[in-house]
Amino acid sequence: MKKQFSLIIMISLFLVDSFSAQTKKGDVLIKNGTVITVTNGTRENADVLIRNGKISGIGQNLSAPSGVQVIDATGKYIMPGIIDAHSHIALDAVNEATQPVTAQVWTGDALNPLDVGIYRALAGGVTISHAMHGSANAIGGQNETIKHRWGTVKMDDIRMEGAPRTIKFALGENPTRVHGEGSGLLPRTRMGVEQVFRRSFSEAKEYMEAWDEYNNNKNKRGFKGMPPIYDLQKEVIADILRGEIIVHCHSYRADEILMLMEVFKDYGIEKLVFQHANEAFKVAPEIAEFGAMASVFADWWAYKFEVYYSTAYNAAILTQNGVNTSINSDSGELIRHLYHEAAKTQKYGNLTDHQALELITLNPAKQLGIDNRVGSLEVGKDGDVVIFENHPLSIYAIPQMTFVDGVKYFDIKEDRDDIRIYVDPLEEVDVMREMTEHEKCMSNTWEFLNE
Amino acid sequence: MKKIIWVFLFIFTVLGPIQAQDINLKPVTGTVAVTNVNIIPSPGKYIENATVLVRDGLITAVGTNVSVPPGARIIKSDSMYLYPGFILGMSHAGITMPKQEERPEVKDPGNPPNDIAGITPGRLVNPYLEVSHKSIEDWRASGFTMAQTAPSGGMLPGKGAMVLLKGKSGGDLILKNESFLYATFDGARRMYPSNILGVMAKYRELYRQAEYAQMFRDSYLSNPTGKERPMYNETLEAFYPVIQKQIPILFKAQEILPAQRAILLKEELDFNLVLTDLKQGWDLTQEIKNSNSRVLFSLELPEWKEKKKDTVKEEESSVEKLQLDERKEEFLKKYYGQMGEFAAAGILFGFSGLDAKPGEVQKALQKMVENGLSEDAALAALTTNPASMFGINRLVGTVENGKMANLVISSKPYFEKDAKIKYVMVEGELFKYEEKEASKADPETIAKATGTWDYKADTPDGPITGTLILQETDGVLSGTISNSLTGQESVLQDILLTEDRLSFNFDVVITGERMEVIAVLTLSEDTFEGSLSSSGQQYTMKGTKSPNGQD
Repeated sequence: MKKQFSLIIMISLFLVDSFSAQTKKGDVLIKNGTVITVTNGTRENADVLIRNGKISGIGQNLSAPSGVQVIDATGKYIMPGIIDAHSHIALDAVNEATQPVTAQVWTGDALNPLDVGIYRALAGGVTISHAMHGSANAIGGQNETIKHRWGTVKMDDIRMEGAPRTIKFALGENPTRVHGEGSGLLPRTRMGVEQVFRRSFSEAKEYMEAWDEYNNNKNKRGFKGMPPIYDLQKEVIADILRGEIIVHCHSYRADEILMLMEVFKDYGIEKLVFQHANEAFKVAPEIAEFGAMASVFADWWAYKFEVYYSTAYNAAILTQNGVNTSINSDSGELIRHLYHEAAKTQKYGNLTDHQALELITLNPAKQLGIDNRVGSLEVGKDGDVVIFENHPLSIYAIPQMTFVDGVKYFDIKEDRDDIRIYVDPLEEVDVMREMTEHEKCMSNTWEFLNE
Repeated sequence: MKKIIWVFLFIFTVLGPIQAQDINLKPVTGTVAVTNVNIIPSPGKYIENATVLVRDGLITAVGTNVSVPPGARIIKSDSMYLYPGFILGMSHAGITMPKQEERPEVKDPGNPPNDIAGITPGRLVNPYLEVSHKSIEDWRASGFTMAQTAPSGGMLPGKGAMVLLKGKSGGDLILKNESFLYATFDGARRMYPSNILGVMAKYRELYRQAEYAQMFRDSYLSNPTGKERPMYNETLEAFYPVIQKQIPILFKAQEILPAQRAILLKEELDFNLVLTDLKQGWDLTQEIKNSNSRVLFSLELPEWKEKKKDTVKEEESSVEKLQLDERKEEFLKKYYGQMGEFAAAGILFGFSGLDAKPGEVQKALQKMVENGLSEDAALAALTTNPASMFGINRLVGTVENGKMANLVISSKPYFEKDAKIKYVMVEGELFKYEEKEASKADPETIAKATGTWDYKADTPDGPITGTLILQETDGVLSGTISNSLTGQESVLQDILLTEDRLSFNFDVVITGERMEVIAVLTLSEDTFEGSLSSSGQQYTMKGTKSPNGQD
């Protein structure tokens, strides 16, 4: 079975690959800016050369090969494209909120490249986001890491080819409200949430063993057995146990953060990133010891009971304790100024420029397992670059141009009035909004919540 | 809470839309000769002033040199045009589904029984197919002699059939049953799979389970000794002919993203795919061609309303509004222009009618032809393409000796404006269409209705008030309606007035989505009472004639 499943993966990887081979790759020379490499210091009056979508040179007085566009960045700042480790833009659906465990679902199926949120993110210098399943279920769906190649209508064009698989988990009130209170099922309490994980892992283990036994025997003479019933959910959880999927877990309280690490130790699962993690600062050394990471808000809490206790020093404390930390948006609005969110760690926690910028570049890249490709300006990495007016951590910072794979997808000087890709020929100008956008993390769940 | 923004348009007449009437000409003889008619026997061919001879439901002769046997019934069709009967791809023609419980009780919404979660791929059309269903008559009146039809509801509503659009009982209609699996991306309400995330995962899982189940069943059937008996599973069995590529999946995929998702599943799971009721295909030509999928384009496309030149308004419009209008027009062209591109790319396509109104199909087809689809390609999409896509091309699709006598006779070339369908023949049975004008309302009734009315409609979210203005020019009623919610005014459409009954409709936009609102009112001297209804909701509406309005 394992063989067959990996064959399926190989085929789908091949398909993804054959599509992604067609995504646009650009060539550009950005000259005379202050180049913030993140991994190799900051270089004044330097150039960045991108050839065929990859950074091919960083230095002074680089010359443009013929036909390559030159952009003068004198007085401007050039930094790696910002990476948002927690977002729900470009998705047609966020939660499959009908089961406490939905490992079988995948946001990659719900991608919506037509979402104007992608363009707005580009306008905030964000080139990659982690299009996550919501937090309604203890084990939610698999996520998709997307590149903001705005202008395409193809779902496959925005997938970040080769990015590792990730999955959403959730602790605390969201799963207990949706399933416990909403449907009268497990989990009704935090104890129940833990039980959901343990049961799922144990069942997936048995499932793996049953298939291994079947596959080992099926070609033997006289074998009469029936194959186990194929279960996509258990297939995916088995892949978590095999270490093939990075777990990104929605969490708030310190006690449940510790709980999850205990559960993971019991099942030998290592790849773990805590999302939100508003009380993570209380258990920062323990997180560091486990080798888990954290993706947090700069200064947002008290929007529900379990998240009353937090601090704007969270990111700084985690960083200083050696936890790989990122700052995320979880919002189509915050995603437009993550550089500003990162700068807050300098007021609250005195992080250096370098540390603060890592929170939105290299660190989230590590959390998504894509730091070999993006997150810093290095020769050989993807040509995902933002040009800023003023230092990105300055309150006056304004992104000017955003490039993905060397292709310019945003230019503040060429910002059209109607940037939408598709227009409904019957649409009327709609002057009213039905509701304001709120926590998209919980969208598609309202039916299950008792008001 | 539904905030209603009423917007809209048009001036319509007291004359109802011209109604065609379906008269079944009972056969007195099994032989029919359509004489003196211009025949388009198949796309691209033409025979002037010829005769088609039909005997016992089959075409027995076509040409200019056909001798009509004595006793044949002669249909004189001088200067008319005769085509092969049109074939409609996927529809719900003739189907009446039983009412579903709106909120079925489910203990565990994560594991609902298949039948209430919309997973019923084993369902057949038989129990739901009714010959008296109005859609059969309506599609036939629009020139369609056959249609694919399937049960509706849920992500896997059932298996469909190719039916003839005539018969005495539901069973009579069926030409080829279980000839495709119908699939949608519709989630189950409040239970798994509830949206696209779950639906996609469910397809993958069901398909893989079916593959394993079939594999084991085959090995069991060939040698059951010592093996556990595989349990019969109606849901999985329904996939077997799909896995063996004996039948295709007709995947409802109207918009560009569902279309991509269907292709994604096809490439992962490997089945024969027909993208069904496609509306937004223009950016996917290459993907569709590469994946070797077939297409059924929807016959229900955004209505293309010819703009009336209103220079005053145009001057008043902002640049932003003009730019938006331009983009809207650009997209209309894409909707109607894509068929021409698909034909040029060599992608085999037909048409489907999941939500199309049969009476408006001809207009839509003419728009496609205006926007680059050749008449031959359009006719092929109505006849030979669906016939070969669904394996019935030796039976129907052309006007040829030996084929089933499915014919359409039109007053002018079908794609010309004002062309009217005069006769439709289905397996030798002839239906005649005559125009009939709705009767005009008398002047007294018109006087009663015209004027300015103040109205109040009670909704659960509180009353909406506004003004309804009706006026008459040369026996033609037109009017507008305003509302307290937005202060905007909409133009009334399809105004119908008979004695004391007034009805009209208008479109409203609720957060960008257009919905139709229908008003049905009973008029007294200077008051009216009635209802407003929209998408299943009905509100009472009362009005009084405003004295200032009476001029």
